Amino acid sequence: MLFNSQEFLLVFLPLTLILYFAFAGKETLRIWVLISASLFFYAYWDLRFLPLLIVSVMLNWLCSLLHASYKFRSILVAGVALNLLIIGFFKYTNFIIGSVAATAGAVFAPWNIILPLGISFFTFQQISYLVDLKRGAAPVYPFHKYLLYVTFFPQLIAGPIVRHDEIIGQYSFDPMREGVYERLSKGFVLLFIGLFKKMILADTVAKTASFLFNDAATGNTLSFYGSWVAAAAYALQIYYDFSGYSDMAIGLGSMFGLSIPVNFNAPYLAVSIRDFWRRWHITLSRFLRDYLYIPMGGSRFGMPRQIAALMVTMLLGGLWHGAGWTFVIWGGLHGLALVVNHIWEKTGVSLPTPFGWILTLLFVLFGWVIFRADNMGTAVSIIRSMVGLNGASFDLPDIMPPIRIFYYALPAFIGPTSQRLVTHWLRPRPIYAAVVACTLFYLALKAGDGDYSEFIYFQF
Amino acid sequence: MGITVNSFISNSDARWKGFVRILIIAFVGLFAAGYLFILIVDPYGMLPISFDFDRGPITAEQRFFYPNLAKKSQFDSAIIGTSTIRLLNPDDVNPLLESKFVNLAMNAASVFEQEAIFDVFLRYHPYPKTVIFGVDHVYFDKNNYAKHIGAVKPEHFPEWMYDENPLNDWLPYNWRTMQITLKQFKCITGMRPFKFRVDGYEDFTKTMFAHDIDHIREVIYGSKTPKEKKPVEPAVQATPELIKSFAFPAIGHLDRMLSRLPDTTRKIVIFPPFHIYHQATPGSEEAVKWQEFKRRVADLVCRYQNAALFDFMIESPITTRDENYFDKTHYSVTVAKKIAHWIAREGVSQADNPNFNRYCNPMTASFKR
Repeated sequence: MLFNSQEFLLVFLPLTLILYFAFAGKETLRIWVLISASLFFYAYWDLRFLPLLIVSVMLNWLCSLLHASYKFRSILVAGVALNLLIIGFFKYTNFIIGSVAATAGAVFAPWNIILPLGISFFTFQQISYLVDLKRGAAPVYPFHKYLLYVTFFPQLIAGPIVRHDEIIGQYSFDPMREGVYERLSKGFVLLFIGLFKKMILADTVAKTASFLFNDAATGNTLSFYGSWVAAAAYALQIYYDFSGYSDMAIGLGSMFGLSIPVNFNAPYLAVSIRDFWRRWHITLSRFLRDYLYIPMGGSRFGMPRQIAALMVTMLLGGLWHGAGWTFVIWGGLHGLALVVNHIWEKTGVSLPTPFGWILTLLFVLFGWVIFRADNMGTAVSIIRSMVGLNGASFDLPDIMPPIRIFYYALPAFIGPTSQRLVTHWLRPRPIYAAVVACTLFYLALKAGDGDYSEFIYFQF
Repeated sequence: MGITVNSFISNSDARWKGFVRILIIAFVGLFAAGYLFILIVDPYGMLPISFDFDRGPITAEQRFFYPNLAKKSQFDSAIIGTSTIRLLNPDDVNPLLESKFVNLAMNAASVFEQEAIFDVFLRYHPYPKTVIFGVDHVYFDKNNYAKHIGAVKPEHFPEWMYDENPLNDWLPYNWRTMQITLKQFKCITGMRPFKFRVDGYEDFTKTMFAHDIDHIREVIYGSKTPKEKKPVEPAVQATPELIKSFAFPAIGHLDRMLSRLPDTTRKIVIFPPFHIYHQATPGSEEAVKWQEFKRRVADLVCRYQNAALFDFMIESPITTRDENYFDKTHYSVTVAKKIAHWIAREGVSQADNPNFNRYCNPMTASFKR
């Protein structure tokens, strides 16, 4: 069930909210309402995924219980290894065997392994919990709270990646506590913003991006102009798509009285690549920093070690996005850029802000081409067009005119972030409520047209 | 890390309560009003209980709007087929056959779709005066027929509009339905014209006169110069084995439709006039196959009371003149007018007309005029 579907907006969400608030005074009951709703939400995609999710949660929770009872530290290591094995099997088997086979010159027909939705997200959440347990920084939670922590439907499929200590404690808060209507209002508004970003902005620019990238994938050479439009369209698509999803997740959490961490903060205004990663997919950056980069030494053991830590972190971060060399190379390039960024900072020379912004944006755009392209051949072809190596033609197929791309880019560059809009600008004025209601009405009907697309991050 | 929504909870919860209330009331109100509007306008005219507005086709999606036309009581006769019969204008045929025709021929309609719209028409008009069937390549081509078995997708062909189940006639509540409803509302109230006439007729060749003869020939021959088909020599012999190997499963649908019509209904079946360059090459196996196809259709049609079959798919003054065509299978409205005239009047008196062959002779008295 997609957030941008009528089943979700008109049936699932209202029913879950009604039931949740009906049992608002009874903590255990309302938690089970959310768990039941979340499991139904997950099983609605494909019932076959559900057992894996439940077994994964039970095994991880058992690890925590055994650790607490018998102080087996190795059980936690085994738990982390098990999580990595599960994700490795489902996500990387074909990639690894295919790569080995290609190196050996053999032909490999990929196995038919279905990737369970959200596996990258719920696995990371559980790994972070086991690691925190090992560090002595986490308690053992009651099963139902742990189950909800992993399965909570707003962030189950595509994040934000939430830490146990920033959400599980909130389950005990009475949803009817002071501020309930403000939380509900802001939740609705964030849901509306997210839907708008996804259905109006992302899905529209996606048509242009898909057309041009598919055209390039079939062997056609994009013009200079076309390649830049392709890169810009995809940059906007992935931003509106994923930040829209995150807005909806945070908004839905707010409706249930739960605060979910912010995932985006105007990433295309970043003035350096470090700044970009503080603004893009913030909860993933935080995870990679706390559970990979810092344990590998971070900046504590000198520059060479830091460079190695950065590169490994970003290569794995790239691989996390998908089992493909384009993702690995994309991650590696970002790792390199971060290394350059760190070294540059050591020199004490600072770039003028506009220059830093343009440089960062250009780098990110080129990076997205590699990220989106079906293979490196296509990516290289588009990049060659972008730098003029395929001629300086301004031909563009009859698709979205570039001026419209420009309009679609405006919210990303000059608009307030959703969080700022909701927390600083939104006031409880009737006219705002009416505008949101009208637009939600339109979006709810639009959701019924059936031509919506899945969120990009569902595939990761 | 970062900003969280809950960090900005203020003390004005009463005002936020008002915000939530307005939002929910406005949303639910709009939602209910929107669906009520759809129910009242009933854009496709398919709801079990519906106001008697003068609805018509508002988009080119014939499959969505023709069931409503097929139900209308103002008609007593119908034209069934594909675009090769769509140019038969009810205004021409009505006075000639003293009938009130609705043209239900749909572009590229499979025989399944043709039978489906015929069913709707017959359900609401159990004793039609006249039904005209256009029988073309859709009936002839076995592969085309096989392609459509079980492959009629709901988004292209809304089966729910054609069946007898009133429970599935409730419209999906989405933006597309809302837009269609708004358009139908505007048409009903005279704010905009219908896409097609309410008797289903549409002259889709309007643009043909913008094209010169070179363009038409380009479409027909693939070049500006007319080409001639050379007969196959030696000609393929119509041996019993070859004839036996031909299968035309789609003819069964025509049989079923004819059999459901009362004896009193005039049944007119037409092989439309394809341009000669796109008819089978003389002497070829395809020519033998067409001949056999026509024979089987003629055998079938002539079994029924009050039935006639006109074959315009022959070498004739119509089919050999490029100016008569829009493309290889679609003729001009002038030709359509002539066809109307011939099938209604001169089909009986001018059996030697070089433009067609007539089968089913003698006709019943009621058919003769």
